[in-house]
Amino acid sequence: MNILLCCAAGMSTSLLVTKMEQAAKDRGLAVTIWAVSLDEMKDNWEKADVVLVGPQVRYKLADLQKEGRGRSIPVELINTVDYGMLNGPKVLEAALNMKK
Amino acid sequence: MKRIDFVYQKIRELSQAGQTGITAQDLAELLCLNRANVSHDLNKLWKEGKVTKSTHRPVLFSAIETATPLSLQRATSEPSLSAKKDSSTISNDENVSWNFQKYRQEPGISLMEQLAKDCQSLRGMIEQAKAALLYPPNGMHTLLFGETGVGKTMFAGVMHEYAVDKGILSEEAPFITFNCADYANNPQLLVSQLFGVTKGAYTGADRDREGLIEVAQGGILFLDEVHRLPSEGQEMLFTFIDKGFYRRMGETNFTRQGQVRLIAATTENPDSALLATFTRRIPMIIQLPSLKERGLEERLQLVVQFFHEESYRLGKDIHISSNTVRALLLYQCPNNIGQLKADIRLSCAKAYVDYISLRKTEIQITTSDLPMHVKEGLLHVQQNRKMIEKLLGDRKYYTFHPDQEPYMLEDSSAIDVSIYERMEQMSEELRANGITDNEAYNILDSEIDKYFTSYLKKVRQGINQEDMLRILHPEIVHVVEDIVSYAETRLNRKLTRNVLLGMSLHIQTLIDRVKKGKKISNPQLNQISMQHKREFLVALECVSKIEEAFDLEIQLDEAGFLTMFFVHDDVLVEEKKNYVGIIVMMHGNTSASSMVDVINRLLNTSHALALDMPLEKQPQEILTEAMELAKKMNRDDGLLLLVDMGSLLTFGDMISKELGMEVKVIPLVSTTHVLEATRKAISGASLDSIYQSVLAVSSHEFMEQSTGKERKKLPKQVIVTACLTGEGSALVIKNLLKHYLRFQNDKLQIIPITCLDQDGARRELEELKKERYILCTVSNFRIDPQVQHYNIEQVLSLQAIHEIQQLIDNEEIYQVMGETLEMQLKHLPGERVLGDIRGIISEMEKEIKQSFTSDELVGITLHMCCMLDRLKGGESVTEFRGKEEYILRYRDIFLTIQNVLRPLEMTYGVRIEENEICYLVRFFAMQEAGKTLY
Repeated sequence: MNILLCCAAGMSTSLLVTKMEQAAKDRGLAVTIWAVSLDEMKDNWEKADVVLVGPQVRYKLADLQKEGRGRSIPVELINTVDYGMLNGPKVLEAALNMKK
Repeated sequence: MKRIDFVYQKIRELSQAGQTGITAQDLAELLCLNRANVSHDLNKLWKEGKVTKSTHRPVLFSAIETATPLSLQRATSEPSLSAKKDSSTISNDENVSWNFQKYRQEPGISLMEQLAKDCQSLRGMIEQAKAALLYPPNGMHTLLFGETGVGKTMFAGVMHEYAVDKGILSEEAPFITFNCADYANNPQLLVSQLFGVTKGAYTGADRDREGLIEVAQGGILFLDEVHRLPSEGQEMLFTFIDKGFYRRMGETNFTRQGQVRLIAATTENPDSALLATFTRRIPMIIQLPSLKERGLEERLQLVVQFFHEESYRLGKDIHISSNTVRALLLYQCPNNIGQLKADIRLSCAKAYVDYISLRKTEIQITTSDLPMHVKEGLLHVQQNRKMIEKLLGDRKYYTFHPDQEPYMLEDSSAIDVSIYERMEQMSEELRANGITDNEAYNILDSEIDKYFTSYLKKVRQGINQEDMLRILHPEIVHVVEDIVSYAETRLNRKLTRNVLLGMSLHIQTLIDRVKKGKKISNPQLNQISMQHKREFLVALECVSKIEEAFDLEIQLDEAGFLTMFFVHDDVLVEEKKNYVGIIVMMHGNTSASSMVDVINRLLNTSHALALDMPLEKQPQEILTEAMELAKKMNRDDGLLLLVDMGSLLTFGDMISKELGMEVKVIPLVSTTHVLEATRKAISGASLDSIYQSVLAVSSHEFMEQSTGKERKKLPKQVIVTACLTGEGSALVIKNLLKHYLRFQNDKLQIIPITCLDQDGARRELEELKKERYILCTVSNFRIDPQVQHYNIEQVLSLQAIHEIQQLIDNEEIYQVMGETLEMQLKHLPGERVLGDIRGIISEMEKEIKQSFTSDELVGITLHMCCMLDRLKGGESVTEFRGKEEYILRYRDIFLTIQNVLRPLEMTYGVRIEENEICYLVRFFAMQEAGKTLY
């Protein structure tokens, strides 16, 4: 499963990526997780199964969800608490649930 | 030169030589004169105001050099009986303390002469007394006869004073009072008291002791209630009278000579057999007149005198209605002056209690303060009308000042805004404003309506039976009960208890007013009588009942007011039949229901309801149950929930929304809270008022458990609450927050501080800031503009709770974020970076005048922390697309952010490139765009 994280510059979410990868590894899941900036989104839609958006770019959420619906890709905001706490397992769990 | 001049000369010499005082004895020795004569002269000089004398024994005299005003000398000396009373060993008679200082004795006149001047009726008796005292060589024993309380003891005292004054008795001549009734059933003890006892005369007589007759040597022995003297005593007394000697008890062959004047007093008829033996030996019988025989004029004088004394004693003005004076002049007073005085003191005491309990603004005595038997005096006004008129004129009030002659006062200054005053004021105002009669009527009409509605409401809500009884005179309640039951029969309907209470209060004011001679005017009289014919007719009857009961003339207008009581009772019954609902919800199988059970039983009601919340039950189920309960109530007045914790706190809102009723939640449950809530609810109080008083209960309890337990570990985050003392609302808020907010005690502390002045509070805050992070402040004013602030009202109304909870939750996020960053950042210490970044962000927000939501903040903070770490590591960021145009477009924001970031660059030794700044600009720009969009 391919999980795409999107934030302002694609760099802060990369911290979360690390943590999510760790959590996936712990659970023995084979997932690909990567982070991009808003501007890089359009080159990455193709590869993603789900898209998670950082709370600081919530203003873009509606646009992104619209685009996602067109491609049947669920787009959701990362829970602020989980994001702020860099809670890898929880965000991973959320991502996995989106596809169910 | 006369002897007295020698005496005066000598004492002046001594005083000039610096001697502070000399006794009559010493002076007599110096002058080689007889002590009694010197003493006499000294007293005369003292009367003339030429010498002073000390109030204590031995009495020291000294000359007055300059012409000191007489009054001053009087003030320092003690011509009253009380000094002499000290010398008596036995004195149980209260009358001895008659206070003659206030009798305005003129200097140079003895009390006896003053008394003769003031009291016509006593003149004959005073002449007799003088004769008895002056009768050569040693005067005559005297028998005073008079009813209880006519002033026999006082009279004897005056005789003694006269004798000393005139030099008949020496200055030191004792005046000893002995009440024979005191020992009437123990003749042995009585005789030993009177005549003394020798050692071993009887068991317990362990030493020789002198009798009163010895103590009284050279002076006067006053034997009160002499008819109670047992035969043993009589015999010994007669021996003394006849032969001038006596024996101590136990003495056989030794007799003692005595030079004592006896004044005996009795209430018995002197013609009675018992007294025949006395009258045979005591030729001088003085019969003192009863109070009745003294006449009204003297009685008034006594009344005035006694009030004066009371005023003096209390050190306060006393106002007395003229009806009170009338009653005091005319009531049956079988125990004479003593009783008159006691009754006056009693009514003064009662009025004083009203005064100190703030029920009245002055010490006022009206007939309602008088005991029933005194009030009956008013029944005799008619037959004494002429005399009373002559004495009192049309004075309405008497005022006594502690130090002044009584004078007349037209009206009492006490302002009580009753319906009467209100009507007067309003009609005057309306007239002054040129309002036409018709309009005025309408306005007054609604005013009367309003008055009665609120009056009855207040009565129903605020006052319980006990309070009423304390406020109201039982007689009034009695009369009103009578009126109400009469009205019920006539109107053929039940009246509520409110009418009784409300009308009692109203009639109390009415009576007061009528007595003060104030007018009663009801401009709506015509309207009322037309609109409510039936009630009005009943009210008319009631007015005459009141007139009858209190012996007053009441204007017809009053009937208009009474009518309204009957009319409005009806309205209110329909209007108000619901009470605020009380539901107690607690975790646990029976906690809530057992507590509610206790309260309901205590208050003898079933009003409070309980909802138990066993731990296995889901909140949703409980909510449904609560809804059901609330639905059944369907109270328009609202609902108060008392809950212990957790999800129960939110039920209030949900019920309120679902059922559209006002709901308030008290997040505390204790027996006290539930008791207070239920008590108020069943008294008909409004939801708000119940809520407030339950909160007030809370604050008391919190006070007790407030003192610093939380000192040891200092959690990093702080909410500061502040009030003037740091113990009032600050503490209440603290505890409120503790109950409403979810947080970990080791992470957050709520600190109440004092903020007597703003600077002090700010300093305290600065101090805290050094070590801790201040989440927000709660107080009546903002202490620090940098710190998030809430008003006390916002917290009390729970509006701010949600926001504060978010602050706390956010902090928790940052806490964890810091810990994670500490581990995850490659080049920088995470927690420190986090702190700095947060500071920079709030700086940016302030400069750009735009603030982020907490969600956004979390993201942006994380973004910037990563940014800094990245820059430190020399990594570069993805190119911001269309950077140049973007910078141009958002030039201001760009430059501002760049500026704000400077210190960060310095601190961490990095350069924040334009691309990075553009990303930051976008947070603001997009937010701005979003705002305009929606």
